[in-house]
Amino acid sequence: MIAWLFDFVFYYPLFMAYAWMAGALWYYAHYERHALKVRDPLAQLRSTPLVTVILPCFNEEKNLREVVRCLMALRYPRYEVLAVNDGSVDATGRILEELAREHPRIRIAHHAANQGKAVALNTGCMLARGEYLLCIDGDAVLEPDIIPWMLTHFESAPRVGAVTGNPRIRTRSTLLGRIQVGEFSSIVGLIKRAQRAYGRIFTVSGVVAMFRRTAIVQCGAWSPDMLTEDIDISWRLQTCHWDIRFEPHALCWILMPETLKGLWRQRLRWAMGGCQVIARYARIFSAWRQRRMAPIFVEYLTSVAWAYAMVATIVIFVVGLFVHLPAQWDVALLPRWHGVLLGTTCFLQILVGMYLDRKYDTDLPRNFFWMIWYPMAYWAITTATIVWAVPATLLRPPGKRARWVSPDRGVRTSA
Amino acid sequence: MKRHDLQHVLRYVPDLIHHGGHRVARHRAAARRVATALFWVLWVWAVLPLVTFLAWAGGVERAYLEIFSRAPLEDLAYILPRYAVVVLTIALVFVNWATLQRYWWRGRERRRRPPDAPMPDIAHRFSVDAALLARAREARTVVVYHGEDGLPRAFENRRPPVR
Repeated sequence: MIAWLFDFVFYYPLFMAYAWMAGALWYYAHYERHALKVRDPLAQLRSTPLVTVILPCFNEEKNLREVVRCLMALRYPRYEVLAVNDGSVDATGRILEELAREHPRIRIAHHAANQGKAVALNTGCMLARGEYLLCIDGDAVLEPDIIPWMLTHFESAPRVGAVTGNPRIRTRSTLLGRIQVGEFSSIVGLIKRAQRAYGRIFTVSGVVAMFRRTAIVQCGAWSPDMLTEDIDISWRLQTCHWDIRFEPHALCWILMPETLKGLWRQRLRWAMGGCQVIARYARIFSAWRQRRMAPIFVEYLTSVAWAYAMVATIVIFVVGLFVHLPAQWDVALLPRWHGVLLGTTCFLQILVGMYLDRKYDTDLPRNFFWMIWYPMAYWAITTATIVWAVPATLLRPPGKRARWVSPDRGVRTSA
Repeated sequence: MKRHDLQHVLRYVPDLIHHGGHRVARHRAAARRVATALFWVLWVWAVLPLVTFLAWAGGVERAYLEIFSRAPLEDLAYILPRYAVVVLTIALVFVNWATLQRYWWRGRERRRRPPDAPMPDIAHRFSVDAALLARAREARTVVVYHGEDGLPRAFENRRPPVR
């Protein structure tokens, strides 16, 4: 029994790394490699439907001007920007009014009181004039060709309900920022590609995703009580048999937390949101038509079990320092050959992630030196947040509204 | 030079250094890198006695013996082929699954593109009056009032901002 626990802790992430790498490389070979040669994505479109960029803002006075400046530079002929000011208490509302005076494309919806991101997105969905909704965060700086890159997917298949973009991290001035640069290449990018190759995607990126409004309306729109509205909407769409695609060219430059407190709060919210979704969608197993969702459900559940197994292993190790335990309970600290294989796998995963993202983020090699932090840092924070999130989610009152918490946007937020 | 002047100059030092001004042929650049790497190897070889001495002083020899006595090379010979088989099996299973998905769904899309959701459906989804919603959608600036359930209760159209 104890040997199984140790084997599970060691082998699960090790072999999952190969599952992600295999899927990501397959995706690259079949979908991505050819698209790298496309110079003008706009020329590939058969039509140019009206697109509404929905920009939910809560206390974003520091980032708004920069974000809007980039939005006004998008290379697409027919789009509007609908900024939803969700009851901000700083100068966000005033700045939006000023920007709307300068740019006729901008429309504004002010919420009389703060409602949370999900409600802000619902407001955007209601008031949008376009059928395609590009939903971004208030700190997201977009690549100019992002709209045509995403629209291509809606043109190519009738049941595409959402396309998720490729977020890249701007905050690279501290160790925490640099570790996350490695994480977004070595794990987020790999998993998105692999899940797309295997059939279903666990979540779109809440910071940049385009939706078809018909799909959103049909599946019930964003839930105000879900802590991670992006995971929930991904499951809603896919359980209503809408497809989700990943577009690596749809680049979006984002700010991430650069303090431990900010990072912890962000990751805990992600973990709690994941647990909420798992609890809500366990019903997929009662319907054969939902079978394609089962692998990502099982994978997430196994990750939760892994986090607890990891904690159990650490506890056994600490107890073993003070109390004599049987030989089979001995947690070896010296790496031996298994450690070499684990280290090699981590290194390989980092290299594959860097290779796949080399065209989108040319600054990646500069961060290579820091990426060695990623495996330990990622495992530590994932374990801690999941172990904390499960009881916190179970104790959360059902139906409680999810509200904004002013996020940590890194230590340098100026343009 | 005063301190703030020095900082002013230092801030622009990166711009003063030319990195790409004199481009060299690719094979010559590669030759330079290889030669430099060889010099690094040579340097490490030269200082090896010092490295060995420092390692011995730090107890590395004992750690080396400990590691190799507990995990001899035979262990690696045992682990490596099994590990390779598992990794290859995982890769083959998942790659075949992805390929199967692709070919299964390609050209088999029986579903049609649903028409765009009409305004009454959208209004119904958010429990608002369709006429009110249509008016709010025409406005450039609108204030939305919500109920406790997060659903909109009223819209207040504001005058468009003056340029």
